[in-house]
Amino acid sequence: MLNLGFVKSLSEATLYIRLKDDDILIMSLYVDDLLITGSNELQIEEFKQEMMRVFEMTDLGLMTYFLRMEVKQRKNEVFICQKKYAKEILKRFQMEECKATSTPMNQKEKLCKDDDADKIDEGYFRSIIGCLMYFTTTRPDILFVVSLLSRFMHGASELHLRAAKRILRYVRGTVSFGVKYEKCQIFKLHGFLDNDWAGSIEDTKSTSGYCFTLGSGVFSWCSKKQKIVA
Amino acid sequence: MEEEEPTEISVDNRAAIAISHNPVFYGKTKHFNIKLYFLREVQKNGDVKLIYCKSVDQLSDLFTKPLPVSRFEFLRTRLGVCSP
Repeated sequence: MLNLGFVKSLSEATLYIRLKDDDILIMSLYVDDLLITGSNELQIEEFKQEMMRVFEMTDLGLMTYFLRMEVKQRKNEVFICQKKYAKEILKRFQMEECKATSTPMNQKEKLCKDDDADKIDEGYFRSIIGCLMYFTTTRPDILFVVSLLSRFMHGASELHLRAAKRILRYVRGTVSFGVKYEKCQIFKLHGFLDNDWAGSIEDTKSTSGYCFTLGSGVFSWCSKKQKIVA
Repeated sequence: MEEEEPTEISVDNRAAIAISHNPVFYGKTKHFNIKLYFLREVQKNGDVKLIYCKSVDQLSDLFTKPLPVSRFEFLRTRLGVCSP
């Protein structure tokens, strides 16, 4: 790649960028898959030919499905979702016919590590959280509660499982949801940052969350318990 | 793809913004992780700018606390999460 004039991105190890005659060519590598985009269609076409000569590969056209992420590209907008994956999760945990809820979390419930409720099968709980973790790639709305529950992977109790099932019920109601990126007037990077104040009951550590947007649709988000007591 | 103006980050805590500007060392602010001083540095360089925003417009509320239905749905739409 470096021979072709690409520069490796500093922050993302598999992202390569080439700047040539005011045109930009961006390429993302994942094991044996290659995603490519750029400002000049001719250059993209040239690059494809070049690659095909060196490697044996097929051109699958416009991106529609990548690592279980569905991408719908329309005029002036791009929509990403994991509808198929959501259905798989619901099927796997036999929650296809459950009643849907409108939020993923009970507002009044405070979860903590050592409650008196019965302990449950940890493997089962972990697999639910694991599936939901991958689901947060296109669903920032459940990220907070998933990260909260993942703190109880060890020694999960009946209450935690109930909370996890509630997320699944929420997912059931919003299977086809995803993030939509539209063309917008003000194209500017803007961030949002927030903390809760000593939200964790056991160690009074806070949780911070952030997200970044370029006008419409967030593309980077995080929710994380802080490492030190503030 | 260069950005000329500093990136604006919305925070709903005026005290946090004040502390990020003020290099004075107080007893109450001594428990910071050292790496957080990086924030003051980037702010001084003009890469990042913290601005105050009302709690109502705070998008990242969704990542820190459980919310009631109406608020949750409002913020969800603001994030760009919707059905196709």
